[in-house]
Amino acid sequence: MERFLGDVERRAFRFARIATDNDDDALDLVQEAMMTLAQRYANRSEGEWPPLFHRILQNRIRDWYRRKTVRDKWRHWFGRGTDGADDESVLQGVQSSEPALDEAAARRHAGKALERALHDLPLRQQQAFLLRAWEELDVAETARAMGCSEGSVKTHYARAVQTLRRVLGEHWP
Amino acid sequence: MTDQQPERARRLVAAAKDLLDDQLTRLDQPIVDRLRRARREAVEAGPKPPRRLWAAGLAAACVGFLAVSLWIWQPAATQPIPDPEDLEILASAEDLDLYEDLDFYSWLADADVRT
Repeated sequence: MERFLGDVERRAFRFARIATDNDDDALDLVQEAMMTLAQRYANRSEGEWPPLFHRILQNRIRDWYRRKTVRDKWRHWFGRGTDGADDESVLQGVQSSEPALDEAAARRHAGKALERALHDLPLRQQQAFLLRAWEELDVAETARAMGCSEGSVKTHYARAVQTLRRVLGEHWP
Repeated sequence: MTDQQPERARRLVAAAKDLLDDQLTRLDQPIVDRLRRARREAVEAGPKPPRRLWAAGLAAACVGFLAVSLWIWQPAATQPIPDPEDLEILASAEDLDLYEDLDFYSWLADADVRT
């Protein structure tokens, strides 16, 4: 179990970080997912752990997102704005042609722009993209992890790719 | 156009994957430490002991037994049979004050008889 969690913890953190845009919240979500897997499913075969862990983590992220939506509505009513809302362009730095930017800096900028663009996607599109493109789950596995139909996964994924291409620009990367 | 779109999508996905993998290697050390701590806590917590379903079942059976016992052994219902006279009083539209002071009127009637 420890080896499995060690293998997935960084990716899990990045998943949660992209969704929450907050280190502490992301760490809490990953810790809850790890604890749930260890307490409830430690006795299952190792082959079952990856889909179970993804399912637990995605559910935790979705719950967090719902709570945030409610919280943001209250804040909006009281005129305090939303968490982390800013107008920073996702293209900042990505399409810069400044020669001073070395390759490492350009990658960092591109990485930040990608993270912002992913964060701004609707949650289900974000999940579908990350699970399919990054985690390389197939459609059926992604559907199980997200708790939806395979058709929904295909739709969310296609829309995510379309939006990312539009937001990040035709020349990215 | 239709050939270019999947190709562009493939390039975007490949680049995104590359960048996301790259970011994994650049996590801040405090975050890596907290992840390690969380992992160890989860492993040490281990699986929860199986729920004691038999205890819950026993408790439910006891409650059921008690409920059935009370239902069976309760004294026979002793609903008072309504007195026709009461019914008459309740059905009448007369002022109920008369019946509330019935003792007084009985005494008055006796007093009239004696005088």
